[in-house]
Amino acid sequence: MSELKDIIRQTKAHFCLDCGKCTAVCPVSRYDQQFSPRLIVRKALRHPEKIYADRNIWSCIGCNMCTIRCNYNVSFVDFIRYLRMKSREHGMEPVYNHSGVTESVMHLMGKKETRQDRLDWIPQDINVSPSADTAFFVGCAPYFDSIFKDIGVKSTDSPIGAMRLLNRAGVAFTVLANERCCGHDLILSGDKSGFINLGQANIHEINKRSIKKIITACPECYYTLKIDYARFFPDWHMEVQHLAEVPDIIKIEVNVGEKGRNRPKVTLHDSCKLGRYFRKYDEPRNILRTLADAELIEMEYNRDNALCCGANPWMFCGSVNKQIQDERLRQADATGADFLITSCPKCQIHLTCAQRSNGQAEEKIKIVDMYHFISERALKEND
Amino acid sequence: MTAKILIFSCNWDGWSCIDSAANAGLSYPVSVNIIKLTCLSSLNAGFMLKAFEHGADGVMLLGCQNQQCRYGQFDNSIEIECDKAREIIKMLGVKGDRIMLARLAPFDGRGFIEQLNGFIHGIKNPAIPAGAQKADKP
Repeated sequence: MSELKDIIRQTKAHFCLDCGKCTAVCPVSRYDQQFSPRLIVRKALRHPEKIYADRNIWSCIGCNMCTIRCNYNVSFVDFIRYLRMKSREHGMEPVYNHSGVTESVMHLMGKKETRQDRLDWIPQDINVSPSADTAFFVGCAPYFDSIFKDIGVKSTDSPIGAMRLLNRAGVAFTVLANERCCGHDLILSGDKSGFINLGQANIHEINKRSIKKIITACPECYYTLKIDYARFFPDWHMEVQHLAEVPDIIKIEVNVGEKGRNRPKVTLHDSCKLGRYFRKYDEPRNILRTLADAELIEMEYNRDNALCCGANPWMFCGSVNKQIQDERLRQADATGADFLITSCPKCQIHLTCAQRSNGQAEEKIKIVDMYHFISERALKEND
Repeated sequence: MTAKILIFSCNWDGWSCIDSAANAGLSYPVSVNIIKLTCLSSLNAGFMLKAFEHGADGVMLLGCQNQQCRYGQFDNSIEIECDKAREIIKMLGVKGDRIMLARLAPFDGRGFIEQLNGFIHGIKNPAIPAGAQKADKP
């Protein structure tokens, strides 16, 4: 019980005033009347013994909307993460989507003996320098390609586009042949031991290659490598940079024809991790405007207010998540833009899935990954 | 090494093959475990990977022959899921043919044993030499 007190102190949950702003802005609460961040915190403070069996703790999608609104910065997502860890110790288990395929992949990757063969998808024209001391952290995109091929998403477009941009910017980088998943979804779903396994394997792999800096294009990898690894592994002092904040990227010479003509109309879906967690809203917008010469039309809810793609860490995806996704797609459609740009492979997967399940996908806004969009538009003619 | 095999068998022709193999007194290694399903169409890649996660060296899927499904649901879904699982375990560095889809005629016990033995002989190494397995050794 004292551990719970520590976590209440760490996440500042004892500052909760019961004001209910968190519940008012929570996208899950809007569609699921049973779910309320305020009530979860209250229940944990007053009846800690009952909270672990509460099914509601698994419904949080980790979008951080509540913390942004909270006057006292109660870190609700960290609090939920901890409750999930403890809940597992009490014998509760989440229901995984896709029959647990992502969870199994992450656990298999976390084994020390795993020697992956995962770089087949990198096209010949991309220049990878094996001796570079900067590593490009790909993420799970190659696996998503196989898992979600039936909804027609190609997640590796994102790292391919990102690597082309890095090549053009003259940043030498290497990729890790045996890179594991960063563990974001395992730690968010409370699987601490799985996360530690993945983290240790990654750190071992990175130290073996004497890497000095990591660049990643995936917002979730960025958050996990930068914040969570530093939190869970005291020896981790790696410099982690998101692609959008690499200074050389914005200086790339692009070829988009005459500036200001035939500008594609795009709208940007902010990812929660890069957005509400790091408050990096301008970086992706800048590279989209400067490099792709795109006309950016903002959705009604953007930046801090941007609606999440409705994705849990691959668990408990249901009608609530679908309604959040549908609402986001309606907001995107309302802008009249031709492309909905996502900067996170997961957002792309979830929004595409929602769009497909509604039918008539071809008549609606086209969901494209940001780096793929930029590299296809700005780099192709130069090659 | 005797390969650890998990068989997912459909309730109909697949199961009838296992049943008739048992009736005919045919045997298979003790490292083979069988899970009975209503239909192979209810299986997807996640369950196959879960088997590897728990230490299986191979997964065999036993179902009815083409167009013989009792539920009329012959829609290739199991082939699609098999391909998905094969792609994923290949990326995970697992070598060789680890997932076998066998479609057998009803009550073909001998055919089932032959296919199973062939599959087991093809597997020379553990799928992923798990750290936990070291503890089992004396």
